[in-house]
Amino acid sequence: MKKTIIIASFLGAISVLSGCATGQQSVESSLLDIAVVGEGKESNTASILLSKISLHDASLEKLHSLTGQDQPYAKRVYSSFAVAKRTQYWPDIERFIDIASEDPAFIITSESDVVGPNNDLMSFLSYYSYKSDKALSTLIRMVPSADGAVLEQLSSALQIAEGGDPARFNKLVLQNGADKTFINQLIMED
Amino acid sequence: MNLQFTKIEKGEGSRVIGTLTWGDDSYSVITGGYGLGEIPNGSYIVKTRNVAEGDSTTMKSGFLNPATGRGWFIPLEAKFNTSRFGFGIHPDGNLPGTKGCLGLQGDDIDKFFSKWLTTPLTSRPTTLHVTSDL
Repeated sequence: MKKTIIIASFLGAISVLSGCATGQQSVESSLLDIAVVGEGKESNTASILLSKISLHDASLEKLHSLTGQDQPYAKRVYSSFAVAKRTQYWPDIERFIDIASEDPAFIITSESDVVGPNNDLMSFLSYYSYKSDKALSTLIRMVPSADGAVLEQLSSALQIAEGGDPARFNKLVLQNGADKTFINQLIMED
Repeated sequence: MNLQFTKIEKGEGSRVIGTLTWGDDSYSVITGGYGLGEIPNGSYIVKTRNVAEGDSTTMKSGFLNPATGRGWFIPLEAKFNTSRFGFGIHPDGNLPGTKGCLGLQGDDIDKFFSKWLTTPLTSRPTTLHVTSDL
């Protein structure tokens, strides 16, 4: 009995020292909890922060499970962003691009507490816009909803895309029924 | 599957030219030329879960593919005792050469990253061996 008590005390001490007994969560699991059960700005913020840290498979799988049609749009787009950003696996990137293309205005009007003038989701779309027509089309379709710093970032992304392949860019502007004169003006101003 | 980087010839200044091999594919790389020079021989952890991508707003020109304006950085961590640190694999933008990283050259930048993008996270190489045939 005495031996059992000593072993139990020893294990308890180890647990306290390692933080287990205090219920301390890792940054990853804390953010994941908020991304899963949180709403609006809180959940969006958690997903963006998760996209900037290394994640275990279990977290990636959980985030992936939030990208299904049964989930609210905000969860789908922010979770697919975090997964794609952390895996750089093309099927995950295409999934994010597909979801983002459903509502381009949402990408630039939804809020988070992440500071800085750049919109992380738009940056990611912009990065892969040289490979994906759908990503570039989504950026073009954002123009009517963009303003201020967001429009500044978008103009820069469009200027780079236009400079990379003017024929492809002009074709997609036309295909998306965008205001070519306004877009040309944005590109020249940048 | 592991990555293998073999140093094969001395380049201009203190640059070292070599070949990075991933399975049946190989890529032209320059390491060194600046700072403390080429990457030391030995084994490294390829930090597949810590990869970052960016453009001129988030990365310096030395990390960007001059052809696309896009860059990426795959961090490496030495498995041996060394005072050197901060290595990675990335496009060799700006002037040829790096401060010890593996700088991919020309068309091999996109060739390598295309393979990376189409390889699932859990199937990507997690070890890099650096050796010298100089």
